[in-house]
Amino acid sequence: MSKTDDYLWDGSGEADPDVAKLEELLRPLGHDRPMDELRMRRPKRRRTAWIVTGIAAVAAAAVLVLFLRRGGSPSGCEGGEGFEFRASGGAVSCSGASVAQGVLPVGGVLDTGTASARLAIADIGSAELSAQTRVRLSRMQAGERHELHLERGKMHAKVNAPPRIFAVTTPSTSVVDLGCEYTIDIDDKGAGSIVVMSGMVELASDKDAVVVAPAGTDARLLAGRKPSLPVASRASAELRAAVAAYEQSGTIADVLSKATEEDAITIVNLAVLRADARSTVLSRLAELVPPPEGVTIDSASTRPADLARWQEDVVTLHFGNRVLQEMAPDQ
Amino acid sequence: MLAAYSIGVSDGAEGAASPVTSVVAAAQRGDRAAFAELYRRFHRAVHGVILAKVPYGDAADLVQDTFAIALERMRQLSDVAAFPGWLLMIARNRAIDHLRGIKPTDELPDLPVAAPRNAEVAQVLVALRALPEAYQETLVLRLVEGLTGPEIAEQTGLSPGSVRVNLHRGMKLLRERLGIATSDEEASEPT
Repeated sequence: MSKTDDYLWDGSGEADPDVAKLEELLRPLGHDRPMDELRMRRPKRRRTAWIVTGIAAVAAAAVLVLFLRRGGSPSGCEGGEGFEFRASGGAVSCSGASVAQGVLPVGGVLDTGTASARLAIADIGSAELSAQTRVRLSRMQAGERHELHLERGKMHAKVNAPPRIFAVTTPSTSVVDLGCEYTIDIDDKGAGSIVVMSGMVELASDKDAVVVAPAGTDARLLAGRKPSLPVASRASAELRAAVAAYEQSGTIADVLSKATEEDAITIVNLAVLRADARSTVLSRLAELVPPPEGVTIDSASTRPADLARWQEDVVTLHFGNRVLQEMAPDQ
Repeated sequence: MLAAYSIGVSDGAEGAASPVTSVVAAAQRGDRAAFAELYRRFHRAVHGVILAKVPYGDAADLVQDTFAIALERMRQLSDVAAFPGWLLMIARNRAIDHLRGIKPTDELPDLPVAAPRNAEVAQVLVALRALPEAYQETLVLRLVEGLTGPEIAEQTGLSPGSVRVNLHRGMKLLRERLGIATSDEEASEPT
């Protein structure tokens, strides 16, 4: 057996350049999405699914007949079920067709090109899409889950719905809406950032850890399918520099030392992401925000439920500080 | 027991993992945290098996479908040790069902890779999917999902020897299809 065969087998030994190149090329396609709890709660009823599929097929055929009678060219964005959109400053491309307005169907791709567009998110909100933005409607299930994939560009979303009904996936992470307003910006390499204006979002990481970003924070979405740490909008330049260094090297010491009470949201999310250094991070967090009653540094280090309770306390405190800041007269 | 299986917070890779059979047994008793743990352990294998057949843009949704079906039928599984093969069979069937219902489409726009590399990725995917099934799945699990040979064996129910042979022969065939030269050393069969 050759050394390069060892590499193919378990990644040990001398790297086979062909295998390494294929790995680098294909690894972004690897799966890292968290389990869709909503769907697991409502397993498919096969019989119902067939009936629904049958009805949908008949309806689709009827729409097609009507459409062909009118003599149009089908792009799939003229009507039917989907998210309505309206372009401004020019036409946009919907599944390859140049249109000023229409309906983005499930599976359809909307590319704004040099124009911009307003996209309705079912009946629960809307999104403003800037120029050079490309989105795909991945899923539309009323009352359960709507999912939009932002491939690149900038999207400002405003949603008023129960938590987890709307999610935005990007090449770098999944943003699960907990009912709020936020802007996501994704570059051509699939990395970017999110700024949360109201409410709260969850950012799913490649380790199944869930980062919580409440209003008044922003976070970078790093290539490689992992969110960075949410940082309060009023955080110091020193803390932002420490977080940037953490993104590069994984070093946490500066993040811990530069954080103040207002940065507890950054520290608690660091505890969530860094299982290997959790007790150290929680020791610092305890200096900023004491743990809730019945929770200790040790228990939160080993029991996810206890860490989640502490995280909730920090989020509540973050919202409280934000309200106080808004009420305070300008300095 | 939420703490042992929770996926809400990473427990790190260093901790001792429960045997799959005990997690499957707990999931059969209705322990949702155990089922979430099964998802954490097997979602990459399920995705790899599906991606070996269907376009990238559809695969993630089918992963969720597969686990939803598995959850619904969990109690029907009589041998907990057969869980990996059983789960991947559901995934294969779901992928085949899905393929029956769609027209061939260009998956290029859906790939999470910027142009012009997406064309290269699409070309490799086409070559992978044209390989015999045993090779395509094993190679997708290794090259896309990043599983090692031993992990592939554990998560598919195949013997380590079969996985090693599938990887070696599949890679040899893939090199030929992609026009990559094979050295004499690499051409020898694994023992």
